[in-house]
Amino acid sequence: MEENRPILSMEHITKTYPGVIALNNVSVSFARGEIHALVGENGAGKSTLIKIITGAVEPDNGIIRFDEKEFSKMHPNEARKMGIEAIYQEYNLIDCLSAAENICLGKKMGRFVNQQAMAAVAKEIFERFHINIDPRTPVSDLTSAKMQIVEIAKAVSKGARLLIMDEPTAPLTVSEIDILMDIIAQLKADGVTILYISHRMDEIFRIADRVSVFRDGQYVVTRQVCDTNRAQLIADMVGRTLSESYPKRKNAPGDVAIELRNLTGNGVKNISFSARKGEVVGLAGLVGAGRSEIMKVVYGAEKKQWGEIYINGTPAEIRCPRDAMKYGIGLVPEDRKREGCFLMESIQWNILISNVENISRASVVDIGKEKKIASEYRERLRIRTPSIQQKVLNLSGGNQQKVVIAKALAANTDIIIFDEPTRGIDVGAKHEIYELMNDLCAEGKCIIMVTSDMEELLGMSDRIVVLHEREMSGEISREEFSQERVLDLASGGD
Amino acid sequence: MDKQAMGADKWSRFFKDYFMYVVLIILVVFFSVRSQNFLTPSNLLNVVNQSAYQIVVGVGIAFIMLSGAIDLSTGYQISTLSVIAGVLLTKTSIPYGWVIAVILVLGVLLSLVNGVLYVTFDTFPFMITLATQYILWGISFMISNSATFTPLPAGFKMLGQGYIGPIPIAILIMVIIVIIGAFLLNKTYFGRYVYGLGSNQTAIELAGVKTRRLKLIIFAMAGLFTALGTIMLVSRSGSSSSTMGPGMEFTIIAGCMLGGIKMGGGGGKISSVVIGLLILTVLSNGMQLMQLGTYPQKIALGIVLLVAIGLDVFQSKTALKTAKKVAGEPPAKADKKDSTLSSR
Repeated sequence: MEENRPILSMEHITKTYPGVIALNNVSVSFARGEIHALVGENGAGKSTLIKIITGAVEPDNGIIRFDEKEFSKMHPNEARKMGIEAIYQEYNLIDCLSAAENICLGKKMGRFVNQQAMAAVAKEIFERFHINIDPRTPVSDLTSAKMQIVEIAKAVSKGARLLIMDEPTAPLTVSEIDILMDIIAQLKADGVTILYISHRMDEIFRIADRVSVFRDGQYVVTRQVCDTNRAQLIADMVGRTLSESYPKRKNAPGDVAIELRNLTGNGVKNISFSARKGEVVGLAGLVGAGRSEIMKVVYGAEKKQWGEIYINGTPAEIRCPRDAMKYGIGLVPEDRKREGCFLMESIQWNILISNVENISRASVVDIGKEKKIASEYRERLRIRTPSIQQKVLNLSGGNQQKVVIAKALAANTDIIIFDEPTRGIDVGAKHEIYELMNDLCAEGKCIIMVTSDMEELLGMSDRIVVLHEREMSGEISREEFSQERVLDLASGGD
Repeated sequence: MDKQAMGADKWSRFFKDYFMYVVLIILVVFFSVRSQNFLTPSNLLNVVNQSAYQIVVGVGIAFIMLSGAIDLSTGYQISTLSVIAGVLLTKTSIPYGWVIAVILVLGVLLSLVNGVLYVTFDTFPFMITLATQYILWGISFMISNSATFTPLPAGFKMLGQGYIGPIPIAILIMVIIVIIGAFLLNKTYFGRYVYGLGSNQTAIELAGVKTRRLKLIIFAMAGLFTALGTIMLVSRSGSSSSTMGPGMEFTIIAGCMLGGIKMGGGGGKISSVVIGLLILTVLSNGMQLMQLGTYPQKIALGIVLLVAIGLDVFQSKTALKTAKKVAGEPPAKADKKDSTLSSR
């Protein structure tokens, strides 16, 4: 690959959020026409970096140099004008408009809406990609893979010179990924520079020219893909060997704590597996495979259609979260801000809200007891805060997550469902949460963990249950653990 | 957190908690200067007495608003309840004690209708209570036939007009209701759930709270307080008619918001209701004493509300800014030289 002038270079970029340094003095540059992968664990700073490039976020410090022009911060309109486009995991399409209309949105094409001209533009791009999509199809009728192609076409039609793709393959099946890879190769041939963010190593080795590694908000290294290997990149990413990253559990699993038999509901069908006391069962699958959905059924937050739940060997009738809590089931929900915490209330308030009736006498809350319990959890989970009266809003993501976990534990739960327990939190807090999960196992609690983080899944689980398209596609025992096996089952498998 | 941020936090908290008290004091001082009749014990007592029934209704409305809901039909609930009370007191021989009991029960039922519709439709109750308001409007005028019911039994009028020692009974009732409301909200787990429902319904459901039942309880309670407020109002005026009540919902909602209860739920206290409604009453009383016309009064009221909204927005934005600020120095200090060098 030729080493020409970089199209974009970031120099000494720093960005801080409350309690977290998202990017710490990061300098990295991207060569014209290359496919440059960005890798790092969740919270390593990749998303913040791309937000700074697109102008969604202002850096505290540093210089952005695009095409020899210098900026202390990027403005979204300016970025677009210069040909910086980004495709996020959530698509930015208008459902009720056609593919062609979406592609041509914001483009001046004569005085009136010209359906034919728009269709022609869309058709030309689709043909270039060798994709068969009718430009007149409403976006709402497209599969997520095709929606993504429309997104790419939209960026291309706007004259994208730098295209940022954030986890583009997350919602795709294996064959769809192949198509995407071809399109990316085509874009590269057309001279578009691509920043490719992915957790999937095989994709990086398949298409990227160079790869930059981030860890805890720091830039680590940029390597030529042809000169490196998987193990080296993983070592760069974690900054330590994998075995250290996931603390070992010493206890042996006990009796079966919870068993699902053909559990069906919330759009997910016939899920059967069991989890023992002192064991972590990982629930894997692609986004939308139905992992969180079926856990909501277990927790009683969504209706069961058929199937049974057995708790300690006896059938359990769970109709609402309160019933689930009576059976000792706790949930640490996926979206901590939307489902987990009460941002405007104090830490103490949050931790005790699911158990407040039990510390009340004649309906009156025993504040002393509340304070005591909340302080215990603050100690135990190492929630970093000057005071438990602090509003949860003012905590960092990791500490907010600990509050949500404390809330689930404070309700005296024995079976705890962790849904994406470490999403978007820093590595230190992550490690603490893993240790806490191990402690809980040692106490004989049963953990079901839904996670999209492959390493976390393989590192923390005793067994893995894989879902595909809202059905169960397999169960993997510890001896058979491998990323390939999980991905295979997650994408349909055998 | 460092000292400076702590200080800023304290200031913004002070600002938030006591600003409306300052506004009330400023208004009192202003009207005292402009009118000698304002700052007299009898007038001040009158102001509180005037707002007493509003505050009683307002405590119920506050629970509804704190839980993230709203009730636009309160005015016509009052109207309907007051004409029913009027009919029972003037056209039948039912003892007034029983009439009061009947009105309280009916108040709970009327509001429960809203509550049931709210949990059944499971949507923001703005439209629902807008609709029930029209139904109550019709019912109220059909019962009253636009007539005014008078005279009322002397014993009944005691509630709104009588005194125990120097203190009006209405003020005593108000104080008791405010204390009950504050107790429920601050000391019981029910209060926690109300705040939780208002600030994050999904999360409170996942915390094992049965939100449908909670919403019904909140509406039933608000209905009870509305009925009690209606009884105080009818008793105080010595007569009842369908025109009593309509429009009141906005005064009370405005008072609640002015005092600091957040539209959409989650933030606010019972004292917010008291202070907000007192400000509104002081404002109208003071302007009357200044012999301002009805219409300029309305304009002044609108301006005060706009100012209050502006302050609220300003304050929550400052709070957000404080929350976004991080303690300490930028870590790239040493490299700053570097970057200035390289960028020339």
